[in-house]
Amino acid sequence: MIGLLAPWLLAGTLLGGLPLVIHWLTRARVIPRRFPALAFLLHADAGRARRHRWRDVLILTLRTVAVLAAALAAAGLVWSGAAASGQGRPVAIVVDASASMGQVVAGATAWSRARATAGRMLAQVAGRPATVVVSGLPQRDGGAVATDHGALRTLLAEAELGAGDGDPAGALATAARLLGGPGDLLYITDLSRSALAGVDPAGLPAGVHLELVDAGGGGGNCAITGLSAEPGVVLAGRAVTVSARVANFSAVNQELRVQIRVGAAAHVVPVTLSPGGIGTATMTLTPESSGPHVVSAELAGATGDGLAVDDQRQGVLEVLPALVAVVVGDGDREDPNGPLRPLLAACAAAGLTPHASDSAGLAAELAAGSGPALVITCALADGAVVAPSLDRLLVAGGAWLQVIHSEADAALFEVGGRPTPVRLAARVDVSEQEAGRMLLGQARLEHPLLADLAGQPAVLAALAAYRYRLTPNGQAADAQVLATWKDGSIALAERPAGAGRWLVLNASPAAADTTLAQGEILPLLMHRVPDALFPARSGDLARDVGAWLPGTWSLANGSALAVLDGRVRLEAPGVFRALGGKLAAAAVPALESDLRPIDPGILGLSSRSADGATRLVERRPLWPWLLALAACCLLVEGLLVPRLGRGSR
Amino acid sequence: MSALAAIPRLSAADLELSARRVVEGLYAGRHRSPFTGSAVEFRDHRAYQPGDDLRAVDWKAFARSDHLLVRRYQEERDLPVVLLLDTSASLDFGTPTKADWCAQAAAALALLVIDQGDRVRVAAGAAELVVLTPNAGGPAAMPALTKVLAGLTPAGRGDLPALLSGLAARLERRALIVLLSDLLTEATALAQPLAALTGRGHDLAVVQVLDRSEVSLPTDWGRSRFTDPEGVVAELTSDTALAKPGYDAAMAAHLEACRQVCAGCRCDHQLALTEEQVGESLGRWLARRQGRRT
Repeated sequence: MIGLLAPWLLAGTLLGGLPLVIHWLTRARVIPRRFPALAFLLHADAGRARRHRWRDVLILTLRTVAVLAAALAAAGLVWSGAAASGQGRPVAIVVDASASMGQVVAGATAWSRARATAGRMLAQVAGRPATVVVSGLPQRDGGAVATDHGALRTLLAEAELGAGDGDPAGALATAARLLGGPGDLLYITDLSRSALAGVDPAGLPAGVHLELVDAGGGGGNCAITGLSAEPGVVLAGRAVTVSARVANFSAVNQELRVQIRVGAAAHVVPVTLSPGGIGTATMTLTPESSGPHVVSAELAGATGDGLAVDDQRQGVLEVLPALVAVVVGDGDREDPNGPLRPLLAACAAAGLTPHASDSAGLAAELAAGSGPALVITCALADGAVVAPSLDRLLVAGGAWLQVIHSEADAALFEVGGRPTPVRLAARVDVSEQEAGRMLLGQARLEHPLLADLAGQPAVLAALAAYRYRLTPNGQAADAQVLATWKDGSIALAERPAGAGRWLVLNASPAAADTTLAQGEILPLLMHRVPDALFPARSGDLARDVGAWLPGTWSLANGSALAVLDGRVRLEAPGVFRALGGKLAAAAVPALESDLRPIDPGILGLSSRSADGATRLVERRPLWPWLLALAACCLLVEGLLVPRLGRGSR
Repeated sequence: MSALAAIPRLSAADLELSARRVVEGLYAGRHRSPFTGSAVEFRDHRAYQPGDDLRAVDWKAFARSDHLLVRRYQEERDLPVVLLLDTSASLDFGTPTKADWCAQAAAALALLVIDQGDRVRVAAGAAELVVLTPNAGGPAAMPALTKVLAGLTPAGRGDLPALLSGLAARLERRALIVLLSDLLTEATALAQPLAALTGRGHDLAVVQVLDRSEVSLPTDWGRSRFTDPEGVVAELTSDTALAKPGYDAAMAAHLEACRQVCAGCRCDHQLALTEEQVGESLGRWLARRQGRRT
């Protein structure tokens, strides 16, 4: 059977008419003449004309055949025939063992059909060099191609379905490498999106022909495709909302029930999803203790669910101890009119655990702490004393709120070589304060730090404070101005510094100097500090199956995972425990849940059915022969035509 | 056929038309006659037969040989010349056309004959004789002859053997027949009619008039679609550069065959090309003819 790899290039066969067109365009003009001695001309011309007519036909045929052969070679003409025993191109069979292959269609999993198909194909190529690659977790292969298929059959019999993505691109690359040159690469898969993710046929070595074999699939499926928590930094004693993302990859409406568990707490959420819809089930709770909490979500009520492994998902919610907030100031902490007391009160009201310190004691405070730290400086006597400690804080990922109450606070222009987000422009005199220019001007309420203030427009409109005139610091290009006063002076600014955050609040918190306390502005601001200033955690509470973790980990039942180069690989869904008690969860990659098949034609690939006429055929590219034919035609023309006489032109 | 603008005059001293064989004529002249009679030049004796004129008996010879012999004389009479022009459509070719060239040559010959005091007839036709003027002589005959020649138009399919046979049937007396034709016919087909004419005592000269392109096919004609003016051969498209070797060989063979046929019939054959001057070509022929006579 003859086939084409690039049928669109078959249009090149139209060039076969090119010799005819050239002949027609360049033929000599015929001049009509009366000639009395025509009988002698006829006698002389008869043999020659007959000979040249044959010569012209021969030339035309040779040139046309040459052009057609070249066009067919470009179109990738292949001969397909039954594979003969003991000969033929090497074959590599890649069996998809990703999680999606566990889908059940017509009472059997795609994985079982794929494995059976691979066995059948092995039998058909008996005697041909062949190998098998199982693209699961871990990926397994039968080594370089060989004519003895016993080991390959054993490999297939022992292969197990994985719960990961199968790494199709890596498996195909492995198969191409094992072929060791030109050959046929047969990829038995369910044609789901994950099965073709990253597959690039153009990246295969020359001479390797990839063909997809449809193992059957494409059933409907509903899945828990994600688990997340809000806020990203979960602190003991602070409310957190756990969300389970639910997807409906079936063609019908689904009335689902999602049960979310966090430790002993459980909550069932009904979710209605249209075909292709994605919804969220949430549960809000306040963890009382810090440490890892196992979170799970389980799906029930799905109709025509093809894949069970993604109907539940486990994750680990890391609950941090209450955030340590150190208020550093050299003033009187108990003075009701001083700046430190309102700060301590605001931290406590925001759920933080504040305590006071002074410039001299800050270093010891930071050395003793274990969790993330928030340092608030205000009313410093000498900023240079605390600067080294603040530098270490930022390097370690801590957050520093620089509250400018005095000129000494504003004089901390640089810490550890890092420029401050703002710089002092001038003091503000009393007349400006009386003129109302102390009022808040603009604020970026969409910023997480100011999110809680968005519902307080009246309070914000009346907000006033004694402050300095600060302008943006051109040396800190990454600084953001979050709020300004009426006169344009900066009220609130921040920038990343080291691994942490540097926040500047240009307002004296002393009761006599500001209206911050009246609207409880400071508690609202401090409540958002952990989320806004500390880096958010990973979005999902579980890693994808197949992810690597450093250290030594064990399954929930205590079985240790194999350590490779100091790392372990999470090869199955579930919860894993590290030696130090740390927990981690792995779940089926979300892409594996989408079982809807895609057309392999978008990759320029063809596919065949695994259950139909699956007789393995060998495809031999004919382009070398076609090019040789074209060359022979031109050679014959060059050698033969001069012997038959020159052309008429 | 176009008008004859200028008739080349041939010098009588250099180009004297003379008959190689005895031609019967109506008037006595400088040419020897094959017939015996009251002429002046003794030829031979023959045995007396009853009924012979006794005045012809050579008594001196009877006295010497004791046999009764009769004198026979060869008379000199003027030479009747028949100019036979082939007017088939194939003559309408060349530069000038072969028909024009033949007319000019015929006029020149007629003038030469008349200047010598002989008489001339013009005959013409393609497949059959359509023109045959009466014998004419003297200066006054020339305008009528040129008028006839100017009126000849090449047309129709030629049949030279039939034309020659027709002429032979129409001639009562022996004559010098000058055939002006391209002889584009089978040479072997000419043998019988030519032999018939010479067998009847006519002196025959064939002037074969061809264009240079007919003798040697030009190479610069390129690819051409040829048609036969007489419609005998079907249309042919050919490349002259490719066909030239074969054509030239075939034409050379035909010319040689024509020469052979003429030689076999004891008649002159002269090839003339239309590119040559009529006087030059005829002068060469007549000089050769006179040399052969002497």
